[in-house]
Amino acid sequence: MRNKLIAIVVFFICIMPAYTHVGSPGVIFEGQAGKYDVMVNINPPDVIPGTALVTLLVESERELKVSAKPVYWFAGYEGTPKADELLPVKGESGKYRGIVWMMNSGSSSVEVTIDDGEEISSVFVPVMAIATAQKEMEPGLGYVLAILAALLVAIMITIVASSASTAMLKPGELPDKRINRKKWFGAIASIVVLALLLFGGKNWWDSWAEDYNRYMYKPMAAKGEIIQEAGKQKLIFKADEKSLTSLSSLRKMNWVIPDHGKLMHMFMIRKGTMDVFAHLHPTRIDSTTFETTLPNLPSGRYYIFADITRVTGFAETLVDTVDIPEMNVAFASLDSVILDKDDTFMITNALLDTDQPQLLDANMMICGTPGSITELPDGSTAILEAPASGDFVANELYKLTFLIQDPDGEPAELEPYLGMMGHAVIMREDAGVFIHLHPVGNYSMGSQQVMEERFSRGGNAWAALPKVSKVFADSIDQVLVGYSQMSVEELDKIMMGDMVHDINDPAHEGHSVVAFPYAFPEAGKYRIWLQFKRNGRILNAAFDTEVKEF
Amino acid sequence: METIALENNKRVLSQSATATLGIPLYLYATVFASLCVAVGINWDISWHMSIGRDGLLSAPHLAVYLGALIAGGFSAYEVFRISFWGNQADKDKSVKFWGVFYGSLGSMFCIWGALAMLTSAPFDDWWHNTYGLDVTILSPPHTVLALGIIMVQFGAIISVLAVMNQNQGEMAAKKKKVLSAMFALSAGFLLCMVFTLVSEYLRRGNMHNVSFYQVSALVFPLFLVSISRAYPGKWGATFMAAIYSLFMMVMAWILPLFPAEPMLGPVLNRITNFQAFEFPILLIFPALAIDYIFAKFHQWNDWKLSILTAFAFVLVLMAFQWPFGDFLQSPYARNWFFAQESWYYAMPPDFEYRYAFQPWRESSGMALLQGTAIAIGLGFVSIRLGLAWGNWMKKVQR
Repeated sequence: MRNKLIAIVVFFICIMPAYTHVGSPGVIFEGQAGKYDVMVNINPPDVIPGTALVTLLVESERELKVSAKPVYWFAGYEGTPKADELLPVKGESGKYRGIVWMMNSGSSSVEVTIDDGEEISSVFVPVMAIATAQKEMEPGLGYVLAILAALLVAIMITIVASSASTAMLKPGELPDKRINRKKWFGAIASIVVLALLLFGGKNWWDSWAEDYNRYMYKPMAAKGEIIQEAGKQKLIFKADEKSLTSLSSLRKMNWVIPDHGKLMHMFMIRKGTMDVFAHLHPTRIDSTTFETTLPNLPSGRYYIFADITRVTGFAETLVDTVDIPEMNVAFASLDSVILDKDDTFMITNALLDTDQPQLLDANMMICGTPGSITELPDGSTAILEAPASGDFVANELYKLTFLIQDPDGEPAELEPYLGMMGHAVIMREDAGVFIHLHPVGNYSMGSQQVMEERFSRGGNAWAALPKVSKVFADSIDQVLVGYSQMSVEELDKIMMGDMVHDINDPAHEGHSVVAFPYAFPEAGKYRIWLQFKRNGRILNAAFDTEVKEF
Repeated sequence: METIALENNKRVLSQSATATLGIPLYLYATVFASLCVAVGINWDISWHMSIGRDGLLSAPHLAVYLGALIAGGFSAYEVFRISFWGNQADKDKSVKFWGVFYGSLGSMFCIWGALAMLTSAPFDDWWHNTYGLDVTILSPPHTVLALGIIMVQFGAIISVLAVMNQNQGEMAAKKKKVLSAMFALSAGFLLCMVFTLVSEYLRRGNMHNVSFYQVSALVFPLFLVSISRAYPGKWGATFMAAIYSLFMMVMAWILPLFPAEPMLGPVLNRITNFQAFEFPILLIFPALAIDYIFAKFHQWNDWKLSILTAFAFVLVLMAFQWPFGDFLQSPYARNWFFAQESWYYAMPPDFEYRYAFQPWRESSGMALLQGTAIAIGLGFVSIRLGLAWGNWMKKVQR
């Protein structure tokens, strides 16, 4: 048991960042499957059981046999069904598409396998199989069903009325008064019984819908609270484990594991104007309570998005809003105040016209737009490449590509920040879409690694975990203490895992470009924050773009 | 040339009349339709236990649709034929409804059933898209389908019965035999469907729980008793239960002969062939008791008869099924005949209670006694209703 625990803990040291997901159901993966560069786009079902649409983009001269299958965390690799074939999309070379059935709720992944006749290679893409939608019936179908139901009721009344009367007459016998009375009695009785049955049926249907609604996935409730302590503002963030109505064993807060060395990645964005952005890493006080000292954020109402990943592979985002009161301290301008060495915040111009006063500061950063050059605090510049069509379009898969140049206009040399060459956070003006991206996609890498390890280990998923989840949480806290004693280089090395970033590798596209695969789920005004590190300094940039309808 | 053709036609017609013994073709069709849906539903459940995934046009679904199509099609044709082209004799034997239509009560049931089955298809499709692919038998759209099937099957029974009731005493022995057999068959197929509907309460693991006997007492006597009462011979309920048992066994023997691989994950039980649905429960014994009591005490009034039969049904079923449950859990039942190794692909094969009763679900002591009393009470209601229904069935003429 102890050895297993240590093995698990050592494994988590290598764990990488999680993702955030609000209103962005698609999962995008970019990486290597054997010798192939692949991009996988998965649209998970919004109802479980249901089907996920899987699309693979791969560059290859040869004809490939591509297949996909669901691999659940709890069932392991042994528990996978036969794979389904992904068929080539006509007229689009290198594109394969097919469906995969997700039968159970929970943390799962889709394994995509490429067979080129010589070699078989595959990738795992984590997918949270959760029911998120409650659908209404379309009017057309409603009318058809209503007509059929009315016809069924009419025929049934006729059947019962006839059964009680004319069906009992011998051939040729004519109905008399008594028979006619029976007929009416039968009709009335059947109307009463049918009304009762239909009423019962409606209640049954309603209770089914209510049950569905109860067990539908809902984010875990969480509450943020600002307290003043020794001249500083602190945010206490409490997850409410009792609020869970589904998958509660997979979603225990004691199962939380570090991503990028952090148990929680918290983003705070000022509501409405979106002009203040902070990326913080609260520390754990007890299994459900987290705490962080706040930088001097301007007062106002803030959205909180907190990413967590668990050892069960279940990653999710906890959401709340909090009001930050006015502080009598001049806020530090520009992009960052170092709190935890990886915490940052930035202030930019407002996205929207609002009544809130603009934060006028000489050094305030102005957001860029696609195609324009944006100057960064250290004199370097960033450009977001505009799409070929001019505008970003909803549901179209893009590589959001940022070119970074140093103050001399030469390609800049980026360094890993939290184990990645860059992070992007995207939010729509109404917060209906929020996502944290990495150059490898928008899936939880922590979740992916947990699953790969779990699938290679085999056996029963639960048996490998400590019976008391608190024991697990304690072991994770010890790992975090270890992290805090490491140098930045040591930590980066651990967090980069097996990702090679060799600048001398001619195949490597260099460290001045960072790109994020993403498909905007809906049209609207979006702000994109970019975070990276250069010369040991975390740099933030922001870009605004309007995404058009498909 | 033309003369020869006419003569040939005449010969064919008279031959077919002899072959059908003067029994209308649509009666054969409805009984066959009843068999089709019974096969389709049993096969479909096995499909979901073994493969998991299916489409609208899967083979078992096609069998069910075929049943609906035959029953609904033949019946609708009969109604239109008699209404618009039928002679007076046909009309005299039919129920007139909605001012213009003439049809037998059986064909009206079949039409209703086929229409309900048709309605359930888009409803079920919407249901799956909205609440997920249900893995239960009892959901609202499945209930609409089941009611449709039951009505089609009941329509077959009523159709056969009406012909029997019309021809009482003046039938050739062979025709009577064939009609009786068709009646027993259609009754047996109906019982298969009724069993399927409540089978979630009647699993092996529940055979030592009193709820098994309560559900059985509430549901089965209604059908066994009404058929026993309406059947022209002495052993109606017994034949019905025998057909049910034989059908379930044959399906459990045939299906596992075919390969099947789970197409949905997670797969916790790696199987390679179709998993049988269920071995029949031992309804044959209480059915024998029902027929025996009805024959022996035929002079009793229906209330008194219901009390006696309720005791007999519950106690006889318990006496056989309870120990049979022990047998089914034992290694002796894990063979092709009893098919107790059959196991859903998404259930772990090493499940602790796969071959054992869960102790907390075994009824004993006072709870068992009280539960049995409730079962007898439920049985009484079911039997009394069954008798009333059977009395009505005896009188159906059209």
